[in-house]
Amino acid sequence: MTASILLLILIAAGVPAFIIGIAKASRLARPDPRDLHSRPGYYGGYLAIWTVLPALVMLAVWSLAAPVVIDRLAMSNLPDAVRAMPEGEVKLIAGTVRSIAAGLPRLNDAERAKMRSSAQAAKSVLASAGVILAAEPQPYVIDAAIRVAELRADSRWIASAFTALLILTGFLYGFRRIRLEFRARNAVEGVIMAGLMAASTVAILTTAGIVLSVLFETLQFFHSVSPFDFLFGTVWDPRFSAPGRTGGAEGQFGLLPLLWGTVFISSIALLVAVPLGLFSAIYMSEYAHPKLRAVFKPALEVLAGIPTIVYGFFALVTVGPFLRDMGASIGLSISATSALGAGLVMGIMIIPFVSSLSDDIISAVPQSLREGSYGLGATQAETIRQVVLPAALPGIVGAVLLAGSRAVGETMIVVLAAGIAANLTINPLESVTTITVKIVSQLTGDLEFNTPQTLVAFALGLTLFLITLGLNVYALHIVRKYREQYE
Amino acid sequence: MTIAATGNEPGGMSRTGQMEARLRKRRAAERRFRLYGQIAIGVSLAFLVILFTSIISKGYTAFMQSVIRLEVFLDPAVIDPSGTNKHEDIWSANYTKLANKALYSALGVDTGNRRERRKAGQLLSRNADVQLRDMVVADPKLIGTTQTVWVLAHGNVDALIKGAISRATPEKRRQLDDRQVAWVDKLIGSGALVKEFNTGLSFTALRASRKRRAWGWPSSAHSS
Repeated sequence: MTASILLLILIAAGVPAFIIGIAKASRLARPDPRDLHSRPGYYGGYLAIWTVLPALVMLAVWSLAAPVVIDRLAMSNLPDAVRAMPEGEVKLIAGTVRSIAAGLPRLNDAERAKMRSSAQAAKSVLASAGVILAAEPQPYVIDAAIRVAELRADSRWIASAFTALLILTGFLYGFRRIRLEFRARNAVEGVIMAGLMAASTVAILTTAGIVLSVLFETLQFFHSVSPFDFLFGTVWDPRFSAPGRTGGAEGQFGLLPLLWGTVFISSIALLVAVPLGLFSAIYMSEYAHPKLRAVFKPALEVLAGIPTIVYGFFALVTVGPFLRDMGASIGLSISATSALGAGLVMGIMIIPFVSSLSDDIISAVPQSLREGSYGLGATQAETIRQVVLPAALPGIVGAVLLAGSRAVGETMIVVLAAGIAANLTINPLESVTTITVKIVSQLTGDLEFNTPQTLVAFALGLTLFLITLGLNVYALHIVRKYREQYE
Repeated sequence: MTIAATGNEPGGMSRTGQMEARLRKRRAAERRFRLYGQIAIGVSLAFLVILFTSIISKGYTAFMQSVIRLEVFLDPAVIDPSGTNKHEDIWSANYTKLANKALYSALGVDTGNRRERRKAGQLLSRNADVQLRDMVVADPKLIGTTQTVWVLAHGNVDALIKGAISRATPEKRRQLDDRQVAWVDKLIGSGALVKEFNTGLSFTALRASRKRRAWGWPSSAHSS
C-alpha cells in the first residue's frame, strides 16, 4: 500500500472514531447530559485525535526515513571497487539503481529472467518498462536495484502493519479515557493550539533558513573581500572573473555608491508619494462625499495592483524620454535613466501604500476629538492640522516608513528605469544605480559560483535585508510607543 | 451688526474688524487646504490615466495584423513531384515558391527580372509557407487546385500600414523602397490587403514555427 492510500485509510478511520466517541459520551451521561464535563463533540474529537494522530506521525517519520535507510543498505552491498570510485560517479550509480528499482515492479517474471541474462537485454527490457538508461547496466547495479525493490516492498508492508497497530491501540486507549469527568475540551483545544503553533513555527523557520543561507554565502564573500572595503568603499567596479582564474580581487566592491543610489531614489519616491498620498487620504477621509470616496479609493488602489514591470516599462518608454526631451528644450541635460525619472515612477507606485494606510489611521481617530475642536470654533482645516494629524502621527510615520522599505527593496522599476553605472552624485538629473539593480546584474549571465563577483550579490542582499528589517522594526516601535490610548 | 469698540484701539481697526480679518484668513486657509487635497487626488488619478493611455496607445496596434489575399495554385509538381502523397514530401515542399508565384501574378511583376521578384517576395511574411503547408497537410486533396488564401504580410508591410514606418522617410533609409510601397498601395486598392484581428495572440498559436508571426511587431525591430 502506498502512503497516499494509507493516508486515506487514516482519515476514514477518524470519522467512525469521532462518531463512536460522541456515542459513548452521550451514553455515559444518561439521564442528565449536564453531567458531562465538555460537550459530546469534544469527546468524539478526542477519540479521533488519538486514533489518527500517532499513526500519522509515524507515517510522516517513516516516509522521510525509509528511503535513506534503504539506500544505505543497498549501497553497502555494492562491491568495494565501486564504492571506492569518486563521489560523483557513486551518486550516478545510486541514481541509476533507484530508477531501475522504480521500473522493476512493472516487469513480469519472463522479463525479469531475460533481464538477468545479459546487460544488453537488460537495457532493452527496462526501456520497454519505461526506464531509459544511458549505458548498459552492470550486473551489480541490477542486483542492487532488485534488493532496493525488495526492501521497498518490505518497508511498505511494515509501515501498513504499524499503521494498523497504532490505529487500534490509539483507539482503545482513547476509548478507555472517555469518562464523565474527563476534561475532553481542554485536551482537544490543547492539541489544536499545538498544531497552530507548529504552523507558525514553520513560517519562522523558513525566514531563519533564508537569512542563514544568505549569511553563509556572505561570509564566504568576505573571505575574498574585506568587510571594511565592502562597506566603506566608494568605487563599484567588479570586473569580470575569467574562467580558471580563482582570484577575483582585481574588482572593487564598494557599497557606498549603490547605497547612496538606493537612498537617493527612495527619497525622491517618498518626496512624491508622501504629500500626494497624505493629502489624498486627508481629503478622502474628511472632506469627500461618501460616494466620491467609494470611487476614488479603489481607483487609487489600482495603482498598487499594477505589476512593477509595467511601471518599469512605462518609465523606460515614456517618462525617461519625456524628461530628457523636456530638459533638452529648457537647456538642462537630463539623462534618460535619471534618478528623477525612476524616483518619480516609484513614487507613483507607492502612493496607494501611504494613502490607504493613512486613510485608515485618520479614520481611527475618535470623533470626540474633532467635535471638541469644532466646538471651540476651529475650521475643518485647523482641526485636521492641529488635532487630528498629531493624534494620527505615529501611525502615519509608520506608514511612511513601510512605504520607504517597499521603495528600498523595489527591483523591477529601477532595473528598467535607472542606470547601471554606480555614481555618487547629488544631482537628480544624472543616472544612479541601486543595490537591487546590481544584485540582478551580478547574478545574471554565465558566472562561476565561487567568485567574488557572484558572491557579492549575497552580501548586497544581506545588506538590503538588514536595511528593510531595521526600517520595519523601527516603524513598529514608533507606532507602538507613541500610540494614543483613547479610553 | 457692529459692536461699538470700547476705548481707542491702537491699530485703528475695531475689534470686530480684526476678528473679521482673521476669519477671512482662516476661511481662505480652509479653502486652500481643501484644494490641496483635491489637487493631490487629481494628480494621482492623472498619473493612473497617463500610465494606462501610454501603454494602451503603444500596444493596441498589436491586436490587428495585415493579411494579403492570394490565389495560390497548389502545383502538384512542386508539392508532390513523385505523386506518392508521402507525408515527408508534402511537409518539406517549397511553398514559398507557390506563394510568390501567386503574388507575382496579382501584382503584375515581371517574372523574368530577378530583382523585381526578390522585392515582391519581400512583401510576404517569412512564415507564409508554413500557412500553406499546414493547409495542404490537413487536406492533401487540395493539391492541384487553386485556393484563395489570406496570407500574412511581411512585418515591414504591417509597420507601413500601421504608421510605424513613415512614407515620408527618404527611400534610402526606409525598409520598403518606393516600388514596394506602390505595390502595397495597389493591393490595398484592390482590397487584397486588409487588417484582420490577430488570432495569433491566442494561446493556441504559440508554437515555435509561428513565434515570429504571433506578435505584430515589424520584424526589423526584432533583435533575433
